[in-house]
Amino acid sequence: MWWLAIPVIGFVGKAVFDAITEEDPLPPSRKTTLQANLERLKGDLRYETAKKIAIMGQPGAGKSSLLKKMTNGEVVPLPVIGTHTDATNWSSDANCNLISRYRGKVFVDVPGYDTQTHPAIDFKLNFPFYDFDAFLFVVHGKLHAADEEIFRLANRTGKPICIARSFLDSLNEDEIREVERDLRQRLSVGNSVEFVFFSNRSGEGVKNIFQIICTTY
Amino acid sequence: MSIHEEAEKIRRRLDEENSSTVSVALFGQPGAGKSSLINKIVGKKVAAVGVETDKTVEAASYEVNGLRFVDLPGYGTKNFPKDGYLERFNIQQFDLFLCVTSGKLHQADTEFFQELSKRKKVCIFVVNKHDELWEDGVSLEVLEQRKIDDIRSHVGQQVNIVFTSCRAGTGLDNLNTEIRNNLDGAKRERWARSAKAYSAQFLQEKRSACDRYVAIAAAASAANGINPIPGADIAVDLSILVKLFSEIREAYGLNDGFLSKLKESAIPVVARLANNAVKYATTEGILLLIKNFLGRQAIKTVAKYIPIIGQAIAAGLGYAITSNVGNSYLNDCHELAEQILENKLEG
Repeated sequence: MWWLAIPVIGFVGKAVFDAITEEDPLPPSRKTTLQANLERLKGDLRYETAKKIAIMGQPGAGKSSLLKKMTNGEVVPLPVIGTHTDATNWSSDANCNLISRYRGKVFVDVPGYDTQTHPAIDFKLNFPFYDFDAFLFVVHGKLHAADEEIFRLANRTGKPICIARSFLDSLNEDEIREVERDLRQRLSVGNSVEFVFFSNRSGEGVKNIFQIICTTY
Repeated sequence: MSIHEEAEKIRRRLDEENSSTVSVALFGQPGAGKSSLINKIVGKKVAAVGVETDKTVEAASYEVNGLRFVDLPGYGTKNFPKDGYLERFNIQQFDLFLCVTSGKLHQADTEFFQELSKRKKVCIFVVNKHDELWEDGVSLEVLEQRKIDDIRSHVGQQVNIVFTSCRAGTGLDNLNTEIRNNLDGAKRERWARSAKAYSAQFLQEKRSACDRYVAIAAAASAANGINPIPGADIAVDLSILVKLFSEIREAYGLNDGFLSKLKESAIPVVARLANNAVKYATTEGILLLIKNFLGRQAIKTVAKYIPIIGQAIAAGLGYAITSNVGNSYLNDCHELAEQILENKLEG
């Protein structure tokens, strides 16, 4: 009757084997709203035939104001502007607007990266850099680590980039030269890359940026 | 208490006073204006400022008149990961933290603040570059309130927020006063003595803090009587007085270069006071000042400091002379500082 024990041993052995090798089931992948929105952006852009321009930069650099200003307030829909952190917010509404249009071009006013709700890492991993035709890289003040990383990723696409330095009105002439030299060096770009100073307050340089976008890209 | 015990006590007191320091740590994104802010707080250029991007490899530390400022490098960056950051920079040593921001709040700032908050450290938020706060069609008051609401909702606490502009020179008095309000005891005195006064009120506080310091130093000088004063039956420690005078000048930001400029001032009272400040700075000058006082009949001692300096010392002629000499020098420097503030004179 010893053979009766074989299936029992078999069952026990399998149960033990399963218990040892079974891995904890992976937690259900919880995508943040921001990650979901970045994915949705990628999907939306794929069907776009128009020229697609991403406006990227630090929070508070002046991206949304610049977009509004250079399109004479006619970009649709208008970007959200505010001095508060995350004025442009992709982190709470999974259906929020991601794309604006003006004169047959698509503008994406990307929220400032490196805030609590918009971590730079999400942009580095999930932003669809390759689905754009051009980048408008807006900087304010000194360059941060996140700027360098995002810029490198945008630059790697081989698409044209225009660097736009905001708050021109708080720089003097010497500082302007110094800032451009320093930024070009830090981002390791030559003189072929467009570099514009502008001020949303005075409007200086804003038209120039739009012209570069229209003619070059 | 014998005069020897009192003398010992007052010497210790002076040492304490001299060694009390205030440690302030600043954090915030590059370009927020931390270095400019340090320079403005102390009223002289100690930290290098510039528009070019700097790569802070270690915490930069600046020490001025017993105030220590540490510019912390980026929290959670490649070189300074979050793990071990608080221990590495020994954050418990700081009396106070300033979170400096010029644009919007960054993730690292929020996170670092939360760590500080857990450890019950005092942190003041400084919204610098106030002159850049602007939005089409929105008033400054509304923008300021939005900024305050934004920071508070982000960090989830009713934190103190001060608006400053190093370029326009605004809000600096609020900042220095706010920091003072968060310090106490000897540290508060040190702050009032060493931070730059941007208002008549702060200048007055500086005056009170200096008053007390003068009483202690004068008592120590009298108790340490090692330099006999010619023509008088007293001996004082002149080196303590020389140091006291130099501390007073420092407190009011009267360095040599500035003073020689002020001596040439077109405003007569400024030129006269600056002249005094320079003339009495040396040992010879102090002796001269002492002789002035020896000739006078009535010499007052300030009664309110007797508990600090001790009955026996206070009763002596030595202290009467040193405290009066100290106060007269303080008076000159204080008046000069008032003139500087009033006439907006720059060093």
